[in-house]
Amino acid sequence: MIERVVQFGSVASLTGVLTEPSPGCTVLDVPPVLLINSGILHKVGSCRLYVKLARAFADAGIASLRFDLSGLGDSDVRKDALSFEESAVAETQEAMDHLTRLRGWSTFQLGGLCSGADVAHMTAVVDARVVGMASIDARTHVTPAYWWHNYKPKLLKPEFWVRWVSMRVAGSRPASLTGGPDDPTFEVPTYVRVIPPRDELAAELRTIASRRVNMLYVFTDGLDFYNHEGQHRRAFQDVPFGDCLTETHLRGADHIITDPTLQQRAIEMHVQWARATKPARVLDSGTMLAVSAAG
Amino acid sequence: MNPLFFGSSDRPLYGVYHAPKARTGRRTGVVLCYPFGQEYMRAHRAFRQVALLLAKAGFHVFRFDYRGTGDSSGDGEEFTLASAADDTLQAIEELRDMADVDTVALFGLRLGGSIAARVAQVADDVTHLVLWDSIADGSEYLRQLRSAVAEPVSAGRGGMEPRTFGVMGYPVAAALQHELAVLRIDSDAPAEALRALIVSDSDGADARALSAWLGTGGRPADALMAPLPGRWDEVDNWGSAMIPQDAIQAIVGWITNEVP
Repeated sequence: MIERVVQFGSVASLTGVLTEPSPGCTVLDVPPVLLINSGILHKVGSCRLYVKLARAFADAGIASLRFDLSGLGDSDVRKDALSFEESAVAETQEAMDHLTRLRGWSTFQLGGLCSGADVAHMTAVVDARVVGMASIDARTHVTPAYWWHNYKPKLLKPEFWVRWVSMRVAGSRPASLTGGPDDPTFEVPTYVRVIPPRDELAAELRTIASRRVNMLYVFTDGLDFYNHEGQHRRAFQDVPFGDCLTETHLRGADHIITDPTLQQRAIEMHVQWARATKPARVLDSGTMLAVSAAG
Repeated sequence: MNPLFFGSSDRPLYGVYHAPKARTGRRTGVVLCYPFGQEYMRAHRAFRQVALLLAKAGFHVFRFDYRGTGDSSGDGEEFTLASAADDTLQAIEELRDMADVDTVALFGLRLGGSIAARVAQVADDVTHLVLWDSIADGSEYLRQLRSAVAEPVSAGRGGMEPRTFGVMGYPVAAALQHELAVLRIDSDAPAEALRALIVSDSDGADARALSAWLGTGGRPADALMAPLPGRWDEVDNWGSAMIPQDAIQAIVGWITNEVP
């Protein structure tokens, strides 16, 4: 495995680490993976997830770029007035442009956790170079089955009914189930995560699915709007995912996947996903270097 | 910002060099020492800000990831105090290669402060030391790590070594546990000429021990009380950052005034 620093970007100087298999090692003919920041966390990723992913990809013969969007980690701040959604997509596209210049790659896979998943989605909608997309805790919608899974265990407990009655009497609502740092002293991402209306999200997913983008969706227990495997596919059953969608509920995992066993499982799923994006045709490193030189 | 890999090519370390933004002719560079584990992620943005402000004040600044952490090579279980001290010495050497500086100031937060203090004892070119909420008693810090979560991830999971335990996704290897168990910052007197600042959230045992230790070198340390808006070791399943602006401004102000 070889890691090197790359810098690119027309408006702000953006920093990334390109991780590639060592010369002489098996290189798979699959598109490289770009890992996109989650929230305010820099390119290392929560619990070093992106570093471990990059190195696991390289061990499997796949290149990757983990990079910082403008204003995050080791990248400069933009001086223009684009919103986060606009600049993040533009910068992810700049990362792809840079890799094309550097290595000749023409198609890409995008991965990210939380807001990183959102940026991957937004980029995949508008850029046909994206042929693979892996998302951890992406935006999704609840279904009737969600409510059943949510309330089934509670309905069997007397405390639930006592609370329900007392709420009715008091006319109050329960405290928000949403997790996350409520403490105002902690800086959280300026990106406010808004789940688009279902039909809007479905239309975007239809666009992505129509290009046969290989999609991996991993959901943890850290979201309050997801609670069972298959929910995402059911929530968008009007989207013809076909065999392009793999959905997994990583039971027991918190949002940033702190458990090493579950993190390892998530990494294995990602490697499996990345390998499957195109039929893996094994190239030797000499062929890879020739491609690099051409780029 | 100039990001780079440095050190040996088979086990490179990742660092970011900040060139001075003002021509002040300062002859002392500043090397920043990150804390450990999730505190590293929480403090990363604050470190970036410290580096940018110091560069603006005319300093050559270098922040870097220890082996087994951040973007540097190695697995998390390879992180030990000894390896981190070696890495800090390499970072000092790298900064001196890149920048025209004669001496170095070390800035460390939490366990990074312990590492900086250790390095200051052996590196002749370290003339200034800034310790922010630093750890003086390793055994107490180890106890806090163990109790940080209700149930530390048990040994042997996720490919970790049997004696390693994990806290919030970061492995604490057996070697690190042994080092922490015996870490006492007052074991050797600091260099006499060392000029130091102790920044602390409260007048806690660690700050008092560090102050006493630095006093044995003959030059009492300056002290700065900087209450935090939160805790560096907050258990957090979401990944948030803490940027205590008042403390950062005060620290940068002290360095700007005291370090040539």
